[in-house]
Amino acid sequence: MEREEIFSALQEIFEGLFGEGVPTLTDETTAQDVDGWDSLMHITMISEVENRFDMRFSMKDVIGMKNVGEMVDLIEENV
Amino acid sequence: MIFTSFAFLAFFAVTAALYFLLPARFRWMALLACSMYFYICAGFRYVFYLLFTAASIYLAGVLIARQTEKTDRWLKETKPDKDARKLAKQKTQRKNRAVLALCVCVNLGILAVIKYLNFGSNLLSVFLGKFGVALTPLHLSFALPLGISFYTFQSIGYLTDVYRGVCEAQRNPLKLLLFLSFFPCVLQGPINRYNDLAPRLYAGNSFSYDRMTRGAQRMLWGFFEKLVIADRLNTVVSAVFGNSADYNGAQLWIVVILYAFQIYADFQGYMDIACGAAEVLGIPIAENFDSPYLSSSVPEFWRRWHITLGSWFRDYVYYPIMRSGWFSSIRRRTKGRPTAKAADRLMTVFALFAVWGLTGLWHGAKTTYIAWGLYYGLLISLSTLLSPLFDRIVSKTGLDRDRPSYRLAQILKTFFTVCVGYVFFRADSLHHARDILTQMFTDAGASKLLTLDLTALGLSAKDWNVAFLGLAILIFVDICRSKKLVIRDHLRAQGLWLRWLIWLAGLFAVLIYGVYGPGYDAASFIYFGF
Repeated sequence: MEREEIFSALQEIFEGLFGEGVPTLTDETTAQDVDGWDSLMHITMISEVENRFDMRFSMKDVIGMKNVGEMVDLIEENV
Repeated sequence: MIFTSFAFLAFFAVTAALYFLLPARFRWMALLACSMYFYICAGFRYVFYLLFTAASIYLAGVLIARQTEKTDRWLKETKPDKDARKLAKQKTQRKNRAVLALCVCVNLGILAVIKYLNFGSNLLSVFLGKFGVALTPLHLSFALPLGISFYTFQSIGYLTDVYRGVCEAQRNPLKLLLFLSFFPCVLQGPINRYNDLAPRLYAGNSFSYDRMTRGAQRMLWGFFEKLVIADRLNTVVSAVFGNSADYNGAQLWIVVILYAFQIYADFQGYMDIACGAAEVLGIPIAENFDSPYLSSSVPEFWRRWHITLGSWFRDYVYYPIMRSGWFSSIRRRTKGRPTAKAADRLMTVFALFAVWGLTGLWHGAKTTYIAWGLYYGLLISLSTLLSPLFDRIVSKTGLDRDRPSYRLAQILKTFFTVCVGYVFFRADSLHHARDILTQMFTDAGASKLLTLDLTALGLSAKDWNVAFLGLAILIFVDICRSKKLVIRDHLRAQGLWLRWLIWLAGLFAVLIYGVYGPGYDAASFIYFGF
């Protein structure tokens, strides 16, 4: 799967969860850039991403990922 | 050896001198010896619980690391196919999970027996009594080791991180013991993460005059918060909560608000002394507060209050519940169906109530703490579920969220919601909490507020003046902190005379206006009991 495709799917998931105000996702996007992306929504978002890509992040990755770029790297590795 | 005693100041001076005089590679040993002495001063018999926890966590950590390394070595040498690789990894993970579960159960079991057995049997007896079954509750007498809730949680966090591969297992048992017993944190937190604290603990930092002065200044501010503000307010709060039926609703509102500041000044004061002492040694520890009373919502308040406990529950309880096999299978079964969103919300609410019930229980074996925890479980669940609706209302009504008046209203709303929660936290029983809340909401008319006589609450006019001035300074410092303004840095830029004048004024304020009990022993810190 191409990196652009992953970003596009993530954008869709983020807009579904956090509303239309989500900025265009980039490698550097963090929780501080997206309104509503707190620790509670983080785990819901992770589940949506896992469902969409049919994969499972390790707990180390769930807690440790620092930005959207790291999430995309992990999806690339797993899909 | 309480932080606000002269004995602690003498102990800290000797510790710092020893630490910096020894060669760098021995410095962590000096810290360990001093930390153990500090803990033994709290009670010799308590040390065995700490040593048992450290030994069990050490052995489990090493075992998990060895099993993982063995599997990694085998995979590297034999280069098996994908399925065999996956199978070997799963087998090792199962073994490691068993070690983790056993060690966590043993350590939580000790905490449960010592802290909660009598309470649990009492609750069971009351419950069975309702069905006509008589059960005599247990009244076993255990000495509660100081800081057991803090160091047990820190230990479990470390071991879980080793299991998850977040940190390396510590192979030196004495170094691990230091991580668990480091004296600024062992009695009252913060609950540190191994990867953050351990490298700094073992580094053998050299002396820095700048760090020493900054650390000492922070300690002085901590003493001010504890001795001048928290202990002064304690006089009023203890008197009124001890006899709440004699006071009207307006007086109770004032006292509950004062309690909010007392507990903050007490816990933040402890943290400032702990962080300052650690800063002198060049070992920064985790922060526990980020101007919490300036939060705009209850979830935000909990991201800024007792931060290390909140993040502990998030990483080691909330996330594992949300990612458990049971929840994952519900998600799989509802995937793509109209019920998917409702199921997800229901699971979130369930996990939130579990976390908040446990957070309440962590504070002590009392129904009031559980009620306090569940109060937050309810508020945060409602906030999570209703925030999309609230957002729509705000956007439709055209309210400007960036307006200072809107933000101030949000801060006040959050503060008063937190104050109502404190009634459960401070009351002696659920009946007591109910009575206080009833008075607060039915007996606090404007006339009572306007004719309020503060001196009837147990402090003299002079003490009220000191308390209000102290609170004004506390709020000012918090506003500066929230704007990332470090007052110490601004003071450093001043001339030598002015700088020293301010710090000496602070020192004399603590000495003159600090509240000292009989024999000049300050009151215990509120979180010591946890």
